[in-house]
Amino acid sequence: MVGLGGCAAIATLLTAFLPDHLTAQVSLHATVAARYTSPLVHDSIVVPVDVQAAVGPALALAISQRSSSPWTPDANLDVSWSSLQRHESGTTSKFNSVTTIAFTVGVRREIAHGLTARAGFGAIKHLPSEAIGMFRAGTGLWALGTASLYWTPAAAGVAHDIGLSLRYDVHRFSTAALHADGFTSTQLVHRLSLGIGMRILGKGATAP
Amino acid sequence: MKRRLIIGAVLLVACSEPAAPDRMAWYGFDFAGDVFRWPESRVPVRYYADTRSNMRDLVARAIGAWENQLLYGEFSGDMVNDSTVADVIVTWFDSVPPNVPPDNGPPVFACDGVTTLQLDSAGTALAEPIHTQIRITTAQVYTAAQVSACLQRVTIHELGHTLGLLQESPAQQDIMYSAVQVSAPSGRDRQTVQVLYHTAPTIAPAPR
Repeated sequence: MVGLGGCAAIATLLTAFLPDHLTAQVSLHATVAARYTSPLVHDSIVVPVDVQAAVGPALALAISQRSSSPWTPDANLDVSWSSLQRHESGTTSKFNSVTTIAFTVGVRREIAHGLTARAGFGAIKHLPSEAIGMFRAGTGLWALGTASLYWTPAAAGVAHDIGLSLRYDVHRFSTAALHADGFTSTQLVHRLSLGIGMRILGKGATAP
Repeated sequence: MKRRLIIGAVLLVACSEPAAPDRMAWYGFDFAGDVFRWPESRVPVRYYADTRSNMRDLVARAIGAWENQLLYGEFSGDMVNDSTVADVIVTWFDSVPPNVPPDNGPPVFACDGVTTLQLDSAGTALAEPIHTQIRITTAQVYTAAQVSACLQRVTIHELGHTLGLLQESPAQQDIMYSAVQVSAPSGRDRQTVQVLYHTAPTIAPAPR
């Protein structure tokens, strides 16, 4: 499982070892955020039962290539951590935790002064801490679509492109165990994160 | 117009919610109208197993078999080394069988078990830990391997009673059938324990 420290170590290594000629062409941006996730499962066993990831931390690393076009291609690796909660009859119980890893490629462009928009697509993988219950037979890789906004206030540190990030993404979700239990279709899952980002390598603005 | 229709169709597909499985195939689990199951506050349930032969392995395996029937962490069990802190105590009735690999042939009834839930004077809570005893049949002579296979089946069956499945299943394909012939919980066993763990109990566990 990839931890928060692991992602920080990757960013540090990239910063330390990328050659100068490469840093002139690409920039690396990191964002730390809090993420809300809509329910992964809506079930009904005597009473309605929802399974939802609690609000948790997320870390994103985006690498983009400088371009003369207003559209800039980039790649984004996003990792988040949260406990899984069961909501039932007004009560909430924690029963597992999950790490999600999403990789997307996309394009971004500045839509107003200091405001950059990005759209991308890719895939997401859920990694539970315990392979039990709904995760007993593993999880699949799901397609993911994402859109985000990145705002760099003029008063903030423009030199490091420090700003606020608002990211939305959507994917479908199910597991082999849920399918075996009679869930014949998948659940649409929405995620929204709000965080702070900064460029940690290269030049130019990026929108993770 | 055509474009609007396409967009509308995409939104309809994207926003459709999967239906929860109906879970209609389950058998009774109450005892004369009373329902027992472990509440959230008592999970993981503490199991003590006789230290002789492979009883601890049998019980740990049976706990895992039941944990996997529940999707959202409603039940889990831990092994404990001290019977005085246990919620469930599993022992041999009298003779202790050798620890040998199980026979893979047709099931024979080389063993059986008894699970006892003792109610308090008010009849609303258990008065003491649940006791399960596993007995080797002496009416006929069976091989040690046949006994070993029987012990695996019967231990899962008896632990089903400790979860709150207080009735025998009417179907021989189920692990909770009185003369156990299968080696793992069936789909009907799974639906039954799922329904049980979302039904309000009327009997509380014994205080710790």
